[in-house]
Amino acid sequence: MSEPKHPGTIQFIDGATKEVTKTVDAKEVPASIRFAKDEAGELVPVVKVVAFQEGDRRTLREYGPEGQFLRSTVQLRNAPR
Amino acid sequence: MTRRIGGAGTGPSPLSRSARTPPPPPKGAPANTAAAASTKLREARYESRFEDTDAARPKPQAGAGKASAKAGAKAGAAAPKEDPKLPADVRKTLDQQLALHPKDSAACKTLNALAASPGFQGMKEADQQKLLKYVGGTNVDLSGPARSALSKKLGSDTFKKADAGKQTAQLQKFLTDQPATPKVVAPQKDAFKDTRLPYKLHGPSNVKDIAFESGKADAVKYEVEVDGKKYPVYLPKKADKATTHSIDEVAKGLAALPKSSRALVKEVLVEGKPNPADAHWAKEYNDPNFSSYMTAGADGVINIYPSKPKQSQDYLDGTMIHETGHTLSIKQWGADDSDKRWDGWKAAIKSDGIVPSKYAKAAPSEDFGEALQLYQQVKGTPKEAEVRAMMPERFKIIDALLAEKPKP
Ligand SMILES: [Zn+2]
Repeated sequence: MSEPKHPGTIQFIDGATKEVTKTVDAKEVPASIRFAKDEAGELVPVVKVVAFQEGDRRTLREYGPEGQFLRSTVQLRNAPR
Repeated sequence: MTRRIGGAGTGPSPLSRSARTPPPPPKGAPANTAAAASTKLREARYESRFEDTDAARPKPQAGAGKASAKAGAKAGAAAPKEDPKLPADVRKTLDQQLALHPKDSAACKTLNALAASPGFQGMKEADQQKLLKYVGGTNVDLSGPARSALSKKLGSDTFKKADAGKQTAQLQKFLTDQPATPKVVAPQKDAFKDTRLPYKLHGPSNVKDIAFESGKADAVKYEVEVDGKKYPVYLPKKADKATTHSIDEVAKGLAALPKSSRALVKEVLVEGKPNPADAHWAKEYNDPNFSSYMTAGADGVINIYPSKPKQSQDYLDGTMIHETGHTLSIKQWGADDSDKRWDGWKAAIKSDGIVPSKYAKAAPSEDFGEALQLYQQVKGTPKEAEVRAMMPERFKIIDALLAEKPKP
């Protein structure tokens, strides 16, 4: 699938404080993060990643240029080995 | 040990009748009761209210007297002087909550101690109700830990030595902070054993070059049929059984989803390898110890990644409900929870007061995911009524949402 044009930057936001913690150049992140599919299954640029964390769970919600929700990933803390 | 009705535990021991302990209420003079049986029950509970908990004993203090007099007037002129000063509806809730614990005298002790404390009597009636419903249930998610924490609080010097007003403030803070609430809604063992829909597996068939998030690979494809609809599920050809969910586990997960959430699922990709984005997230968040477990996309695709050790069926079920719940709520009310359409949910959060987990406080949308998971876990079980009583407004909205035809 051909990649659409990215507006340029991705904002990282702390879900708890709603503060922008970082703004990165989209070129610095892997394509799998730079783009995600929208509701229609079309690849669109990710421009905002909101992170929520509580204990051993972190959720990353990614949004497109129109504020549309693209995907939500739940991450778990690895079991100590 | 003999148990009283409602599991209120033993009667007052001679030791517990200290000088500070108020005498039992005059026989036959209960407020707001007509039936003799009910009178007996209340007396039994009244007596047990003061057993062995210092915290339970109202102390002679200015604030308490005032609060008592006021509440006493509310309860009816015939109320005996020492009858706990609670509005009739609150007392009714107390009785209902006590009746949930016929074999748990410790639970009853805590509830009785709470009700008898001047601090509780000084709370607003709506907050008294909330607190009783919160700490009075038998559910292990919220009420169990809350009751233990409250029991400790009631027995602490900070509480016991406080005057009525300060006790009220402490209870109010307890109700607001909900310090014992779990970090996340815990998966319930066998939560969906009886409520999961039946499912049928079609396949497998071998398919080539499937675009897993973790890279293109050949796969086996199944179709999981639930409620008359088929959901494609792709699994890696060579899966590590110790870390990768099986087709049956995924099918069970789909069968445990609320119908409206399931309707939004297009396909499931069981990934054989970790999410390639993990390395980047580790760098971004300066913490290498997190791995992706599941992604739910706006397009209806669910990716499930290997977990070490592999997460339980209950965990898979719960996470699927939570994650697809985001897709559901976003479809209904928008991606940004400052959207006006979220106002109803936000008002419900405020009105209910009790949160499903600490994590739920992160955002209204996370509150929805957590509440939906809890809702689905207790729906149709004996726990539903008491959890619903803690979150009546949210449950009402979810009822309506799940009854609706999902938006196309
Ligand atoms: Zn979430």
